[in-house]
Amino acid sequence: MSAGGRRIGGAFAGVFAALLFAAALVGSCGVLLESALRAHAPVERYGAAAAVVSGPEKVEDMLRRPGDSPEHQTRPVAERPRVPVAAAARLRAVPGVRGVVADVSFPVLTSTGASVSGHGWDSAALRPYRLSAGRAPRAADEVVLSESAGIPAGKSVSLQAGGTPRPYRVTGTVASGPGAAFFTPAAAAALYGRPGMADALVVTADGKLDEGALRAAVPGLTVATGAARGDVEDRAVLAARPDIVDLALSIGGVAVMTALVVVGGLIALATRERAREFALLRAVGATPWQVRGKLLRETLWTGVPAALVGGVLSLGLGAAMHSLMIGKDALPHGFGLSLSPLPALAAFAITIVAALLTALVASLRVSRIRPVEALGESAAEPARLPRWRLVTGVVFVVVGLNALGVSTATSGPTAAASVGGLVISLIVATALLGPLLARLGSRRLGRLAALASPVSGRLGRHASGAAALRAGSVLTPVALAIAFGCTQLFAQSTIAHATRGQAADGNRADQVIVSAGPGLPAGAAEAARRVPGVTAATPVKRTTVVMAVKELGEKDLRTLNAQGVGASAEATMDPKVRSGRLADLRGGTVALSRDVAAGLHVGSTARFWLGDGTRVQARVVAIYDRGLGFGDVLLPHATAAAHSTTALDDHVLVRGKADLRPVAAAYAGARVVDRDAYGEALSRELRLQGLVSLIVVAAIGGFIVIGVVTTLALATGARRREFALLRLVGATRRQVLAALRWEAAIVLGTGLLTGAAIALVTLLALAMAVTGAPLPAISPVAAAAILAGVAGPAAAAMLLPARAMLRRRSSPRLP
Amino acid sequence: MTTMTAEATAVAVSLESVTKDYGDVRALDGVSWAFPRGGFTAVMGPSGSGKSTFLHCASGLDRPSAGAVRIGGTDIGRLSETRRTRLRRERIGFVFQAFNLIPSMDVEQNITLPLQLAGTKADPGRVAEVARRVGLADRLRHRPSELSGGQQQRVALARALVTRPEVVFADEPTGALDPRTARDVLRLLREAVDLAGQTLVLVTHDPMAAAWADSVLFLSRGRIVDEMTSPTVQGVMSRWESL
Repeated sequence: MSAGGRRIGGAFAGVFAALLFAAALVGSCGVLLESALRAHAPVERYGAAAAVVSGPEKVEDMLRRPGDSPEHQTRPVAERPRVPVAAAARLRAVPGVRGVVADVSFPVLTSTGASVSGHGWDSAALRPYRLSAGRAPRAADEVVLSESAGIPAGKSVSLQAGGTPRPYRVTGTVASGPGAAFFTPAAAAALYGRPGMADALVVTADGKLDEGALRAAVPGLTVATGAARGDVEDRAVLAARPDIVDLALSIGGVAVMTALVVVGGLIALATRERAREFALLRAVGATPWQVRGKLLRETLWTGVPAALVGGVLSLGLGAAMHSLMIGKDALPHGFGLSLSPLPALAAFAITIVAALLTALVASLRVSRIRPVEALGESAAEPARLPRWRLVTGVVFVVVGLNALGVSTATSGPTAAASVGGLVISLIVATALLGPLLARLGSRRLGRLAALASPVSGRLGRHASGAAALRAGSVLTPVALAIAFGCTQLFAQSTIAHATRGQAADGNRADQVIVSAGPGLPAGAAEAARRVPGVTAATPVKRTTVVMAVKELGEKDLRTLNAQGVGASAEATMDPKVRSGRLADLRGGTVALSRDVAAGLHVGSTARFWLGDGTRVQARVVAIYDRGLGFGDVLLPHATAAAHSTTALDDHVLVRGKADLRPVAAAYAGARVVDRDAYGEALSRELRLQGLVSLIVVAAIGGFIVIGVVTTLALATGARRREFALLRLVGATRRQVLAALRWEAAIVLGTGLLTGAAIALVTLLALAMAVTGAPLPAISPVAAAAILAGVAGPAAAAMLLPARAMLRRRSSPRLP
Repeated sequence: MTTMTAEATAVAVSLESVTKDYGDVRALDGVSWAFPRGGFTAVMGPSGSGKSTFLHCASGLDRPSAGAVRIGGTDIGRLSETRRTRLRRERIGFVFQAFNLIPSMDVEQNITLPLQLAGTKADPGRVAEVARRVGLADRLRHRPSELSGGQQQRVALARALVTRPEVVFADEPTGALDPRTARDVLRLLREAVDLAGQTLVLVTHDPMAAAWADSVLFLSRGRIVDEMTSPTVQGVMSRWESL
């Protein structure tokens, strides 16, 4: 009976591997989460400052909830808000304050194409920057540059700050710190272009400063000290934070769900293999809870070391994920890594709870093992699913179909949110109804197998149908892997494809002026417009807007992509306006995509927050279809420019075939591209966004495949006796293996078909929602790779142990 | 009341109009019987006669579809699964035909398993005595896989006896053994009745085994069709052939 021991060992090796992987994945998501919660941009220029006073970091709103108390929601402010310089006087009055500098920043391009940050010389003391040569600027045309710009003191240089390039005399250089250009405070304020305002009021102090007194002096403004000072310098980390929190939570959630499915399947299998042992225990006097307790204890014995090792490994895995995402620009530079034991502990606890939960569910079955079964020759599998499982499974199918209904009846974020619910509820339903699906697959696919191969095909069909519970445990992770991989990858590609298509279809420009640096000054569009042959030139400024958007019946604050578009936008872009006119977009107006318009129409008033957190009300002048290609909000150019970190434009759309090279040449870093090249640049950007989902698919997909392989190897290894019996009654080795191949084809085929069906339904719903047509963008190569990546290892895990068990030369005997 | 008390002391297990259905199949059809305390009863019948079902119901492993089963006066049909298990653990011992022992436990652990499940400490003297009685005193550290079939069955018997149960149910305990080993096991069963005063119910289709009993019940199509007291191998065989 040593085979029994091995069998149990095999199951627990599988459970160990699955739990270890789950803990590692959950923990690494925890590392990302903790980093996101603690992350601040590095403090570079404000190193010597005691406190930094800036505009609001986030917008907040109370959103009504039907039958519930209002929910407080916040979104980060992505563009740098301004503060009035006048507030500096109140700060100076606070005891302990040595000085207050009204700090301004603006992009400066050198004639060599280097991009540095421009400030007043009074800001230099905040880091502090120290002169390595020369002297401070004293006149409006004097400048101190970082040595990294490569221009020594005493030379002349052409700098572009705000408008067109102008000559400056370099009076001195600073050695360390991020690249900077220092002008006289008056010149800097003029170049900054917002009289009476500053990016931040930076407080220096002699000793300890009363933070409370500072806050009281400037109500409504944010006072940052310590590491938080970095977020005033660079808002990228702050802005990325909620997205990374969401990402970490959703990957972690999928990892937990996967662990439940995989470990649940393994434990169900192991329990089934040990039905006779449990029945014997019951016969000699073990109560159902004693048997359940034994199973739970055994799970703990495996789970605790697995979760411990996985938890420790997760710290390394999380750090690796973080550095990969930084390296591929999926995270802003300066997004620091926070490592503490917390994620490892959380991963440990979550994994143990998940393992115990699955073991408990599997052990409930034990109560249905009647002690009588110990007396029988074989522990027959119960013929029917327990009622609770059937009912819960059907409920999840109904929930899924309901989500499908919602997603096809609506569009935009509501639809996208319901698509996520759709795939999850269908996968849970598959896990619950697995044995039923297995039986169905065995009936349908088995008929084909029996037709194709009368002897071994029929044997395979019989085996796949007889052990529906075992087949259910196997096909669920297969379906999960396929459904998850396909929806994750192809939802991304469907949206990217639609975005690309909308941007390309809606682009009426012949040429586009783009910038390699921080952007194009306002003069570029005007200069292009004056070129003979140009009929329209529209400056475009990308920004974001925060707006309450209805999702599944509830309003949530969301950060939406927005574009500030200048004159004659209607001539250079076609966002497919369905009502109103784009030409009316000026002053306090806005155009909305139909995805976010929800109830608003031309003439009504939209309430939202601009990029810098300014709350505005604007009259809707147009509703358009192409929200993916043009962003969900179109603003007048002046509005977008006034409420962004810089007033520079991202690109200029030009109608007309005139030669624009002289215009571009006047601005450092500017380039003219035709519309095809512009489209390609957009594609590259979208591919980069796809990287994160690729990482997610690789991590979760790898996990599921490990689960599938261990489950299958275990299930096949436990059938030594069955194979030996087949050989004894006269089946040849070849026939047994062929039967097993047919069985693999039937069971895996059912899993593949189920997974593909879930993915297809989900993707059709998604495509319907984002493009209005049921045409998801599915790459055949990627789809084939996913299918092969799941089916290949699964088939190998089923067939290889059987080959080893049925050794060629040995005569058959029962173990 | 007096009759009840008298019955409770004289009768170890009683079945009153017990019927058991498996779906459409009626395995037991209104069977009534009282097993006397300290008696050795064999139950015989051809395959499909319902003798295994009879044993499952009489021992409280299974619940009858109709009728009552009393073990020491307690109607087990009214008990929950857990209470029923406790009652079995305290009052009933089992010996099965095959797969009797937990492979990963040694002989002593297998013998003391019911005590361990009940949460009581095994009395070392009791364990040693039971092991000596079945002739396995020197095998306590062996695993089941290291024992012969007869030895394994004697371990199962020791496990059934260790809790001093009122009734021991044995289901074809000699079915997988050679005649000589079978005789050794049957002798041990007989001793449990004669020396320890235990009640024994033996389900078998082997006339040789049945001949060791005080009386033999014959089952056919879910009913008790005959009883034979002081059985002989010859008598049982001829009655068997007429079934």
